[in-house]
Amino acid sequence: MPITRRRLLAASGAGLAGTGAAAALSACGTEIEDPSAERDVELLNVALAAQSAVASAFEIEDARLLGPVQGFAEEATRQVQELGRAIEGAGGTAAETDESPPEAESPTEAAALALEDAIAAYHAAAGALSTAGLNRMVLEFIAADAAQLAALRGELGEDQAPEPFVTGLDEPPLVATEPA
Amino acid sequence: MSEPTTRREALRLAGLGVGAAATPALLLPALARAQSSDDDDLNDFLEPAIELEQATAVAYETAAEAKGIDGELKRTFERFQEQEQAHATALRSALDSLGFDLPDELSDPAESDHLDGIDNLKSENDYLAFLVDLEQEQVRYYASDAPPLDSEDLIRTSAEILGCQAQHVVVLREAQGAAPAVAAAIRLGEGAQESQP
Repeated sequence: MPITRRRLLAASGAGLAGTGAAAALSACGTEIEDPSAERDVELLNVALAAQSAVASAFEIEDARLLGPVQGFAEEATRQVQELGRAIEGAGGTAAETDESPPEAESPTEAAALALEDAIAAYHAAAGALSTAGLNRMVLEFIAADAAQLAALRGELGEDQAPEPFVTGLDEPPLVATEPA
Repeated sequence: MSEPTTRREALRLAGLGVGAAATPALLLPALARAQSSDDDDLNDFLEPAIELEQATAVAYETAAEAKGIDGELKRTFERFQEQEQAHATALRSALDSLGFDLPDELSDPAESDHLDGIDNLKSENDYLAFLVDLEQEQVRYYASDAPPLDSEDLIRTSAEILGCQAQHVVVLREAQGAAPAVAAAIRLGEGAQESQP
């Protein structure tokens, strides 16, 4: 398979240091799937399931337990609805979702965990979708979810912006770098 | 070790040594792709992104060193400066691998239009407002200019950087006194249906 513009960074080994090497190797060992409407539906349904878990995390019986971030539910619901429309627009069917939030010690922590999963799903879809509009949508959703995650981390007393490359749960950045 | 049979294989093997001891500067000539006119759109995206990242890094550095900025806020500015520099370094590597000339490194705020007025900032609130504007400019740039590219890697890396910038906005807005729900309200568009080509 020839090097293509689609895999610019992984192929060039950009970043190079530390985990960047592993990321480059991982990418080079994987066959690249060309964007298609069918692939769009697959990726967006994964994101829909993850974002549905975010929405359910914000729809707890006593929303006061979420403190000042209880208003986040509206954004989560909006994303679920837009993902459903995008899936239908790609000719697919939105998968049935009955996602429960992750088990955690508090509703806020459960919401944070769900957001990390959703970010990981959007990260997997970013650039792999077949239209600029869909790629723009998942970038918008990553920004929204990353912002909510930062706010939740603040409520939990955690570092709100710990990493320069936000990928979601257990996802190494595509490009890892050390400052020049 | 046998000779690599394809360019892809050669690059993969080159990557093997990266984590051990080699430096980017030594590897880049071997990894460079032939520049083509089709790469111009990537250059058109990367160059302004690098300039914006470098300017934001310098802005954080300036803010961290400003009189009256100390404690937790100073440490936050220092860490965000490092993160912005990491973005710039990654994007510079990508541009270099395409064979384009790299923008000059930025150290003097006067050399960047993005930093007009930074010398006039006086208070903590002045710096926070200035940095929020810069971060929001970055958020808009990555969200609007990356998607039309056909480089899956660049879009995905833009997503990673965009997430970081969005989190910076939240931290800065909260430092300005905004409630978390207000600080985290980041809307960039009206969704995919209206923006699809």
